[in-house]
Amino acid sequence: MSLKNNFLTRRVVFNFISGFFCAVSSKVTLADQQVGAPFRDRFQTYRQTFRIEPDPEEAKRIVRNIIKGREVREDLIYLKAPDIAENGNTVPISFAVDCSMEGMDYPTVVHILVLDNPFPEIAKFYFTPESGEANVDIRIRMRTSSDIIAIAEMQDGTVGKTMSFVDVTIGACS
Amino acid sequence: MLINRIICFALFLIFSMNVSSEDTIDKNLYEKPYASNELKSGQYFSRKETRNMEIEEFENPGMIWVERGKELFDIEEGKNSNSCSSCHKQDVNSLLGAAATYPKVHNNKLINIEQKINMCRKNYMKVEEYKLESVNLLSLSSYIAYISKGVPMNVNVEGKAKKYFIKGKEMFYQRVGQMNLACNQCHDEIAGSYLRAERISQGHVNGFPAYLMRWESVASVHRRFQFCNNQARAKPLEIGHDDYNALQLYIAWRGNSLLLESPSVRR
Amino acid sequence: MASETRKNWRRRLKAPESAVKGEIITIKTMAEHIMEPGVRRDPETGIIYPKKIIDLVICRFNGKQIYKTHWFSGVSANPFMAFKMKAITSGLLEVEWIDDYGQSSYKKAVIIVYDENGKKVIPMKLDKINSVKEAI
Repeated sequence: MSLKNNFLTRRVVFNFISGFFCAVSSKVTLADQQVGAPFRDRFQTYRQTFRIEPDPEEAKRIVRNIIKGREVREDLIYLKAPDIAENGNTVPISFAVDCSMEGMDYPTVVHILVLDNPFPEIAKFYFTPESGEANVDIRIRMRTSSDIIAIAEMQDGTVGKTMSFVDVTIGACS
Repeated sequence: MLINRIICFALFLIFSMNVSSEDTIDKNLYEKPYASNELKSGQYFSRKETRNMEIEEFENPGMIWVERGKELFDIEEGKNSNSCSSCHKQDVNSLLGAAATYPKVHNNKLINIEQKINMCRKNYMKVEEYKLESVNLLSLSSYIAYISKGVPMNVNVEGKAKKYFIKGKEMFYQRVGQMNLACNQCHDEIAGSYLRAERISQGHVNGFPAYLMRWESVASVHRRFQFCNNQARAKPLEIGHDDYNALQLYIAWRGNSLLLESPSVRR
Repeated sequence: MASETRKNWRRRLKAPESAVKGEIITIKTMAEHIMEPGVRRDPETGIIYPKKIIDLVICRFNGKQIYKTHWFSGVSANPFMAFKMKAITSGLLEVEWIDDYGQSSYKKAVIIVYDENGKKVIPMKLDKINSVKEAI
């Protein structure tokens, strides 16, 4: 076959390959603007000075999904957190659920969330009646001054929620 | 003309003698900024939750390094199968109170505990030295400091250590960095007041090697000095540098009679 | 940093050695773990340190699970946790820490429970464990 009849000239092949690369790269860069893409899959360029920005809407959506429209009791769970945290890397908090831990009156899950963290869920605790008391101490990380929310879901379907504000500060020369 | 010269020379001698007399330097050299009853360790200046983290031995994260140091103390290495505990037993060559006397002068050079551990390893155990600021070396040095917990600090600045003491004192009062800050401006004069949201402490080293929350691991004094220099936008020296040893000697002397608290929890 | 290859990552467990029946005891645990969240960058090269956290902490008493915890990247490094347990029978307490790479490590402790007369309460056989609630 002569070159004139063959449509696959070098120009066509080169245009096709470069067009393919353009299409692939634009697909990749458009991905981080897709609505609903989860935090963890956001595309990050290699040398970008990048920080995952916390999204308050996402945190509120998570809280709504846990509560699922049930009625919230205010006195069910107590949260003890410092007023001012010495360092955001280690903030010691503790919570206690006010219940008898017998029959159906024990918490199945307790969620701890920090609203202004890039990943708001901190921990989930699962209890059983042999636990004695639902009283736990833990040390968490906080990125900035924000609310800590503790949500307790009981076995009988009720929900308790409490909030506490903790200041995380910057100090001295930095 | 000659008499003028003689008068000038005589005046020069008189004035220079006043300036360089030994008594005035000695009087100011050993002047401590804090009296013994005013000395407060860093624990006093931290918040209640941090203090609780430090006092409870189980909840102190620095104890992880101490336990590892305890294991490393007994591990036998090298051709002769020596370990630290072959020489340093409970009643013979015990290390109780050793950490309270460092930095010390050995072979005409001022060294601190980490460098002394490396010296022992090279000269007596005939094994390879640990790298400075590595996990193993920090674990050993925090174990050795933990053995002397509660012993008052007692560094010696007489004799051979005197010239290092003078150098350390000069460094303490020397302004450094873009911010032109000297150590004494904050830690001697305004200790106890707030700088942004942190309370300035008196700057003692009785709690080192300390668990620092910003690095989430145990750090030595020299790494903390490097951070101080970075914060004043000054060029930091390397870890194990002689000048940092001299500065550590001065600061340790400044806090003599404070009880050792290692491993402490600091910001 | 996160790529340290050490084998002796420590785990600590503190539980009381003896308890009275019905008493609520505190169990304290501490793990040495870097808990890298997966977003921090190396200052010189710019490479992100890979995510490595402890995912799951399970506490079992005499083989039966009494307490479970899911952790995410918000828990601090070298995490400390203290929880409570009701002392019913004597037995073996075991706490297991499971990584998100599937590696697990555990620590065990023995708790001896005395009743009001000062006699030890020995655990019943496993097939009778369902009737524990009626017995109490």
